[in-house]
Amino acid sequence: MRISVTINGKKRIFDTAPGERVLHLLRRYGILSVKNGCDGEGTCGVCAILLDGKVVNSCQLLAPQIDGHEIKTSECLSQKNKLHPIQEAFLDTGIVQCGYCTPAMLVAAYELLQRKSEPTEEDIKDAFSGIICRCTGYKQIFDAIEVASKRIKGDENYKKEYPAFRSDLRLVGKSTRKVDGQQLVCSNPSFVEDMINPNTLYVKVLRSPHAHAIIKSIDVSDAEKIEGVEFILTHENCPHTLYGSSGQCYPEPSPYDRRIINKKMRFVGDRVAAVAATSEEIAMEALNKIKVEYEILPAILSLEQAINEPSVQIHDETTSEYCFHIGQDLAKNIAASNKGGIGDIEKGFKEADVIIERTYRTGHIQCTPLEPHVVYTYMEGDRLVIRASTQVPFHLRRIVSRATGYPEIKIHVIKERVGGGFGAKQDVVMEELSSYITLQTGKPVYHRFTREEEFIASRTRHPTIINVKVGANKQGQITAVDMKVQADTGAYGPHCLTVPMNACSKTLPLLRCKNMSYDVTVYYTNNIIAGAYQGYGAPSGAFALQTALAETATALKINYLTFIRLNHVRTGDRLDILKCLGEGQEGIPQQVTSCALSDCLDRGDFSIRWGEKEDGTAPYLKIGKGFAIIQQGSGLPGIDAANASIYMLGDGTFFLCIGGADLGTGLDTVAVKVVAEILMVDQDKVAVKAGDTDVTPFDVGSYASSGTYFTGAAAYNAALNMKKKILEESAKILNVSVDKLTLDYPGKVVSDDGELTYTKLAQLTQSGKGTGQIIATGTFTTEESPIPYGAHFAKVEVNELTGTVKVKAFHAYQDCGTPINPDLALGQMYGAVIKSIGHTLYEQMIFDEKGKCLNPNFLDYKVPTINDIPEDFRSELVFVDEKLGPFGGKSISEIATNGAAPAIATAIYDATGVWVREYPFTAEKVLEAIREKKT
Amino acid sequence: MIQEYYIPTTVADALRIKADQPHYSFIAGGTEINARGYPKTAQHISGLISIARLGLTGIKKEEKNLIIYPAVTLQELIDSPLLNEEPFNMLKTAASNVKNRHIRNMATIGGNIAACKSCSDMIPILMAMDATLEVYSSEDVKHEESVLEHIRKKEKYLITKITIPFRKDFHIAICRYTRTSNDLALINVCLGIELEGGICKDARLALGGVAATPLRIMEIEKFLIGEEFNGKLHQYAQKLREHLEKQIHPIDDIRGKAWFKKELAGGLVIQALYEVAQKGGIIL
Repeated sequence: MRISVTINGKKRIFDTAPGERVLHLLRRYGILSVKNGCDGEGTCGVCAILLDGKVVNSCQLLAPQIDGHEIKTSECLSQKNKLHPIQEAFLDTGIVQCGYCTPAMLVAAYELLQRKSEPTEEDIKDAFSGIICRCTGYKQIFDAIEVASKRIKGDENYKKEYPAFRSDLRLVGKSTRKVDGQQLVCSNPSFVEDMINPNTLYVKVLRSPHAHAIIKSIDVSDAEKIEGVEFILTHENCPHTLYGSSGQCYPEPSPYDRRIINKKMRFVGDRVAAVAATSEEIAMEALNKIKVEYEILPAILSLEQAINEPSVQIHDETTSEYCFHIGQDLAKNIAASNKGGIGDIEKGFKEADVIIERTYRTGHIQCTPLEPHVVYTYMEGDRLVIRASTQVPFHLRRIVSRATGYPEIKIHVIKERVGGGFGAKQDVVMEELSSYITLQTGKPVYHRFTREEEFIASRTRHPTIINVKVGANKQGQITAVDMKVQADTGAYGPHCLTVPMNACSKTLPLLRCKNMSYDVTVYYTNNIIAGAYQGYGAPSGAFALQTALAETATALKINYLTFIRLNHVRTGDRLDILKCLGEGQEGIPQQVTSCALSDCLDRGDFSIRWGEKEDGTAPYLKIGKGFAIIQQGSGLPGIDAANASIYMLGDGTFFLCIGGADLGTGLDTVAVKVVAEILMVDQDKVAVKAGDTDVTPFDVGSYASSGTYFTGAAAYNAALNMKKKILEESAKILNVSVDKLTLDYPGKVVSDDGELTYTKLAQLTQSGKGTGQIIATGTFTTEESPIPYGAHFAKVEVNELTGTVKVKAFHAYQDCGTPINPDLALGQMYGAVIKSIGHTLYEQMIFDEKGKCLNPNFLDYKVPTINDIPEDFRSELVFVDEKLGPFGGKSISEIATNGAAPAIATAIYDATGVWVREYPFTAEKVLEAIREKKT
Repeated sequence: MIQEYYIPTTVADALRIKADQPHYSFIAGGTEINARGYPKTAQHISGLISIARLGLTGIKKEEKNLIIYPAVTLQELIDSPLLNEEPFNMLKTAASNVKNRHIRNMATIGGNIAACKSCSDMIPILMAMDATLEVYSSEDVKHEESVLEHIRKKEKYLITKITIPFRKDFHIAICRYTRTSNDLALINVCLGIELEGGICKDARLALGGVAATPLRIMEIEKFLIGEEFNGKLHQYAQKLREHLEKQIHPIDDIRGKAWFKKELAGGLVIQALYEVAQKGGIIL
């Protein structure tokens, strides 16, 4: 059928089918701002458009519904490369992170400001009520609307003031625009999905309906006969090489325990076959024609079952190889284990007046980036090109090479903008599959997870059972801590040792305690695959340890804040426990080079009115307060590495190449600012290329909170080298000694006698008589890693009639050394906090008795929206002078996921007298606990 | 997969198409029928009949009634100046409980009734307000029926008008439980009470989420009528809760255990009673 629609002011005629969704129609015609995050469920809102001036989901509209109507998309905002004030406001308030939901937010903002020029906070919440954002925590939306509103009304220079740090620096410590911001607010081609050419094959995967089974036979003959089916991969025609999917440094502390497609199925959702066809519909049809006969095996579907019933073996030495021993015992389904400690734990407990021993549990939670896993592969001659949404371009190249047998030199990985990663994209979840199909067919291949696949076939946080034993004396001094962590890695073991180890290594070093021990055991089960998720194992460990500490303080009848003040680490302390808590090898003890914990606690004490009891507005509403102290790391000392190179261009500007992977966090901006600061130029005089394995130097990628500290430091070192070279070349040209020269803003070399602009320097060095283009490199490896610290405070309202917990206030205080870009750093905090409030209160994957996930969608797996943020929501950056790191920058984001669960758990206790020891603290669990207390 | 899409301009034409093609469905905003996987029992639907151009829009006030046409969107209810007074203002509250503005801009009141979800946000309030529906089952068969009668019928026909009588001194409270703000309600309680001098003259209690479709709990309504609330609300609330928990039989599912839903319904009905009492000036 043919329909006529006015799109962004222009009348267009479309040929369409009555059942075609407007989202697909618009993308088909090149409107890239509309995204797909929920496959037509209408729950995520990233496909938002204006239909006759009203914001609606284009995924829920059929083409005939817009016939004769007017549509606007965010493409209507900028005119001829001139940004709309709303787009400018978004860039000036740090609300653009990964950018995947940004076009929908722009549409919502535009509609709101058309309707109300000075909207209230409630108006803003309502306007953005239909959009899920996993990055920003929504908080800076209010700033963006305020700025846009004022500027539209004529106050063109209106600015929101964000805190500024380091008055001795021009750019670092001040909020400036994100370097990739403009392309994201303009919906220029940015994401993998924007790169797809015609004549591409689409991949769909047949997944195992059984948690544990062997494929007895598989018949693809009927599927192959379907016109348009070009290739089918099964265990019968795929390589036998074992590999691991975790994007970690070689040699990985994770097993190589899978083939691209296995003969044995190990979870509901495991790959059975993959079809590549000329359309998604044909590929789906072919999946239905594949006949599979399974021999069903008994399955292990819980951690308790794995611990108690080792009769079923999931892997053996032929299916799970290790680079080095990490405590595995495959006969008992133990994928990894480790134990150790410092001091004399028995003696420590003997010295205690109170000993508390408690068990805490956490379940499966999903990263849920709005852009699901997606990849586009194609050949350029004999080289395989992988356009990827990844956190680890270089590890990805290595892993794909191993899995497919194709040499690394012939693989080119290009990291596109990443529509949310959060750890899920630290693993090679699909890239090796599409790469292999491209290598077999020679054709371009596009593979994109559905939202359901993103839930079941991506990576989740490891479910854990954590036993904590704390001893303390009457004076409130902690004498001993023992942590026993048991974790479920699921069917395969990416990060199986390191995530659960983090439950100890990112929590125990918070305490000044001489006697500490830990024991970590990780089990294979027939559950979905666990892996990396923002915070790694720290949120689970923080919940268990911090709640146990609060329970200890309660038993001692000591104010919890006083108790923590007595026991937390300070600047200068040596953290010996980190020697045993390594990544499968011996770790490196660290000195606390900076720590603002005391300051964070003081601020929270004051702002939350600690110790002041408050009444609810109804007899059944109880108010309580809680807090937690938190830490993370800044990359992995002795393991991680980053490199950068800088080219002086012909006009005296700079081109920076970094291997790091910006996931929307602002890493590219951090690197550019560091370079621009040192080289005395404006930010826009440095262009950046990142995460392209053909162009940029090696970097481990973005994980373990390494971005600012490692990639930032490599850029810092490269800039210092560039500075040295500029001075040396200028000295030759000006015929003075180097020590007489300095760099000056904006981009020149000065001496007492004169100056040489970078433009002139570039012309001279790059001419036929010159010494050549000035190119500098920088590398960064280290034995030291500064730890970021923080304290998160929560005030909750518990409804004793329904069990509902409402977070009324959340105050997050964190030190990240020098915040390189304060508005983006705050956005990292807000986003992580909101995500972790979601994990704490309602996010959980639910499985049936056969291991099938029952809620793989946003209708049933709920994530916070703008209406769920606390009424009083604050994030503050607490400055601390740090000697390590680029200009003293430490990590900022992952740490922010660690506070919510223990802070809220202690607040619930304060409100109701009930301890909740398993998150999420659903209303059902809280109500049950309240009932038990009453009886 | 939808193969055909009709946009008739008269109710008669719409009903004729439906008579010819029983497997086609009517569509208003499409937020239910176009949502992925919905409705699982009706995936055989191969054609849609739009009600967009049947003139079924608008809200008007008559002497004793409020008339709402079925294609009125939930957002139009919220924006309507005709619904500012008690008790009709509670229609706005019910509509705004669908927290997602994108959905409210498309979803219609008629569609919400037709979809008849267990946790519908509009059906309980319409039941509590004694709304009646004008429904066509074919071109020349018109029915006038209550919302309860309508949702009990297996075959769902074309709703063309919703009539809500005005009631004086009738106070309504809506209490619901969701996990996040844009969640569907797990339990949805709508309590309406007509008060005269602290005495309950009439009552309506509608519940969503405890059965396959929303329910009216007439036993409880009878229990409430004639009661004197002044000064006795606390003890009365507990009795009401115990009584209610005997009347409902929710099931275990992934969204919640039966005991929890029962307890929630009890807790929410107490909250609703307090709210209604406050509106009616009851002395606690």
